[in-house]
Amino acid sequence: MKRTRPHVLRRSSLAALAVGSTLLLSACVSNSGGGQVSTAGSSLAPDQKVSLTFASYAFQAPTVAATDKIVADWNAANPNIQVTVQKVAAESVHDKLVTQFAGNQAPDIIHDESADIASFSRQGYLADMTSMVPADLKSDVPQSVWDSVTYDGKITGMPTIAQVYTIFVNKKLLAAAGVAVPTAEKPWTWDDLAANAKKLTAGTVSGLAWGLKSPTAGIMSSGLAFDGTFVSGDEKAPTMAVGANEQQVPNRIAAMLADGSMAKDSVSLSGSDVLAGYYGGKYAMIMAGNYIATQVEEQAPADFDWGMLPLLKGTSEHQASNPQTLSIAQQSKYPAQAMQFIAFFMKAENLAAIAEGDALIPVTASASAAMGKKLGAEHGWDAILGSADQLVDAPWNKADKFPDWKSKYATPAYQEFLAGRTDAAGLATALTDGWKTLSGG
Amino acid sequence: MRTRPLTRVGQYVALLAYIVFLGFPLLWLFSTAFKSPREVISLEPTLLPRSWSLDSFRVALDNSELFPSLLNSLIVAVSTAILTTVIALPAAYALARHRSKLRTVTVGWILVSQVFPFVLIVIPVFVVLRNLGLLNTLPGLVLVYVVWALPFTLWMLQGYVSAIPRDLEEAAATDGASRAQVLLRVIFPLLAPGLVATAMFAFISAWNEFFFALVVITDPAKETAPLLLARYVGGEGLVNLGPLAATALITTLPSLLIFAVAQRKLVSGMLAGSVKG
Amino acid sequence: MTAAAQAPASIDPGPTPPPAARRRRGTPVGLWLLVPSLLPVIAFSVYPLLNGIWLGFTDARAGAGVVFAFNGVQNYTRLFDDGLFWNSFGIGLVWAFSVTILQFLLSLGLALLLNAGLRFQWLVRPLALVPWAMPSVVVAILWKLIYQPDAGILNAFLKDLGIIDTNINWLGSFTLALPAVIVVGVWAGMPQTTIALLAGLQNTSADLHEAASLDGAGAWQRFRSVTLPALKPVIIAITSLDFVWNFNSFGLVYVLTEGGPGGRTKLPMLFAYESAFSSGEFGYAAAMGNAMVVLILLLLGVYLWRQLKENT
Repeated sequence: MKRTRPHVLRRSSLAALAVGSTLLLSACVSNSGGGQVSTAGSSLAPDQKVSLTFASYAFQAPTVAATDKIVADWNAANPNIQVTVQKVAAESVHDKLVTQFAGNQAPDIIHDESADIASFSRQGYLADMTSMVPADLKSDVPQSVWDSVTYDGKITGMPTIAQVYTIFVNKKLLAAAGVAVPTAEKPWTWDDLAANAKKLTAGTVSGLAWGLKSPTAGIMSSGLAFDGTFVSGDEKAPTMAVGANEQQVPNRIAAMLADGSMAKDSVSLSGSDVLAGYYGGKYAMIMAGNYIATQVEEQAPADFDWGMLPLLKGTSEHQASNPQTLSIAQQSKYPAQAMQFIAFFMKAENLAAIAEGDALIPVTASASAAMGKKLGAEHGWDAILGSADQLVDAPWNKADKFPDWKSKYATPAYQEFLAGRTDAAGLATALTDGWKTLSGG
Repeated sequence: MRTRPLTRVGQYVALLAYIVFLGFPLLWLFSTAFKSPREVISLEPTLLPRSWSLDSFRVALDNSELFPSLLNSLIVAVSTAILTTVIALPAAYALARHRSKLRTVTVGWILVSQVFPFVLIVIPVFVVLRNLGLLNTLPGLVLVYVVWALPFTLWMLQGYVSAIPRDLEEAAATDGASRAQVLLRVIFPLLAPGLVATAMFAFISAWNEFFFALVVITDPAKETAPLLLARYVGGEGLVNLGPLAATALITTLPSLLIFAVAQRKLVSGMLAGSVKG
Repeated sequence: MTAAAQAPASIDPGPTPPPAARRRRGTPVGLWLLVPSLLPVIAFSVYPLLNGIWLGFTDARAGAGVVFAFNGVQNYTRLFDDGLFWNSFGIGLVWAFSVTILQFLLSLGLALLLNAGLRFQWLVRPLALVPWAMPSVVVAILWKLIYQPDAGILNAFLKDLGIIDTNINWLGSFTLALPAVIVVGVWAGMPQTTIALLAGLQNTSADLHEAASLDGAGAWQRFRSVTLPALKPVIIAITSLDFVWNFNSFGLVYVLTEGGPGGRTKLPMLFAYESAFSSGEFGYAAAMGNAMVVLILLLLGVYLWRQLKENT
């Protein structure tokens, strides 16, 4: 947008720059790379001070505290590289970044998530970190997770913590119905889920509830357990096909809705709306992102016995990898220093503290081990923490048209399907036609 | 005017219904703020907490950013109210007394500015603020709020000016008073109540604004209250409900208090301004 | 509130200005008074607006160093064929008309009550302004809680009264979601409308009322023949302003439903917002903005023109 700035304003901005001549100077240095990542930062004079901004959307109080502590520790240890935190509301990260990028004012270090940095990466706003990632960090994260933050061959975000969709059970209701809690070695398959949900359904209790008010992410991610990849071909502009694999999860949901083992009214609720019914014994099991554990911990009645199950199995236990990320702005003058801070942030004890606050899974094996030591097997955490390597790249997240398709076609189509207003064939048509319309347009 | 007793009863019942509808969410906010985390989500919700808990307030007050953000909001909203009024007053006078093409242009601007999608304005405004070096400053925020409160404010004020008979000014002018004196001694006192009304509007629009504040402010120490509130809402529909409700209640009180004080002036202000309209 | 009442008059050429004003035309009184307002207005409003309008005729997109160019009416031919947008435009009209009309009728009733000399004004007036006092960030979340199917107070209340026996998911229902968000919209916008109408009511001369009541006119007749005509300029002004504001709002509905279910509450401004901010299609989004400005101003023009014509 800055291109349309009238001359008057351009002159005044030049004047402002001329006043702060040191500013102008440093700007020249960082621009010398001609759009490439500048390495000027690493060859600074030893006593030169650098200040970095770090925009974080840490939400839960313990995560905010952990973030503040990491930054304070870093600042104490690195007097020449001082980091300041900017706090952003989680739901507004994207909007704020769009504006800051357009106005050339982005923070140096950007906290976001992999699905959201797809467009920013392609728009050239994020630095290529591929050659900057330290080797030990590189090997500490599963390759499948790296794949999900690699756009056009470039790593543009450091994966930090991730979520999986998992079944939360009310252990008392399971015990009463004679349903055993599965182990990580022998997880439930989707068939087991359907059979057990049926067993648990009696009287006013529904076996399973799934808050699918925003249905697209959950259903598509779960589909990867049946190898439902939806898209193929060119990374930016792939083609879409909704075949038998992609239809597995919708069909199973439809079957459970039809026989009543999945609560009909739950599918129009949001992920956290189903919690009241879960605590109240209306639902024996709920499907939710594992981060909801923080809510359960805080809100569930004291005598409520709950647990998370190992990931459901289709042909595999795969789910979409959409980790939170730390990126470096292309506009940043000090990418090398920013990377140093990110590497510090990724240290096992730091990342474990961050992950614990949000009840998410650290993607590094080292932090996962540190967190596992602390949490043990309570509430099924051992199986959940061990599932980072089941996270695989979701190819649709990289397609340019995906956000548009999701909001205009996929979400309405899935909602219509869940409400019983279209069948599986109608769903498939709506999804593929929408994709075609956008690709043609 | 005499009103039959039955009608009176009906009127009170209707008024009560209005108050329930308009005020009920405040009661719910109040009740949510005093419920424990376990009670906030319950299959049998009750209007008032079963057991009163101060936990949420403890969390809300524990946040060292609460009072600074309230203070920032207050500074921004009061400055916006004053500046908007000061800028709009002469302009409104000129618009009301000087019907010309300029007036048509202004009407056009007012309408387009109200209809054009506001989200598309955000980026150019951001760029202008950056070029003026006003990003991440409260004055920058005030400037934007002033300009965006102007359209409505101008219309209200120029109406109040129109309602003042020209004869008054002309009489003063023939007495040898200068134009500035006329404005200051004749127009201004008559407009005072109307100014209170418009200032209140500007105050509220700045007090509640979120989106501009979101993109302009990056330093947590300069955040306004809506930004702080938004941080109690996480992604994926997660909300820290109790602390959010407690904080919201604390931030709602100042504006409610101001309303309670100003409502007389607001209405009588409009009355005074429009007597001759 | 005669203030707003002047707005429509100025769209028309209006009546010939009185001699005093005509004499003043061309004197320097007006222009210098406008200068203090003009500078910030140009920088923060006129320039961004012109920029936005211009973008609607370009292929502007988000991206570092992206060059964009004038593309004529290309955005508009694309928009013309965009069925989803027009569908959402229709929803926007239903939303804006319903909210504005209900807001007006309810506010008029409240303003009449507040003007009827009842007791407890000191309590009732601030309470009537509650929706205005609450931070908008909180309003949507609060209503979400009230509408919450299992833990919400609305269902609990209706169940207690025996009106319903199973919980209703207000915001998740294909048929109820739009009405449910309309109720919230009406609630949120009532204070400003009420205040405007209340001021207008106080404006209608008490003498006229007395004259009418002496002639033996009933309350309803008095309202129709005296109050309503006197109130008309205020009604026109506030309803047209409300309409524009309602049409332009989407934040509230977005937090409540995200446009769902099945796109039933997807307002056109939400559409434009998503095009700009999630898809980065600034040019196309701006074109939507331009189209909406033209269509809404046309609608409004017809309304204002008809009303004013009836008036004279």
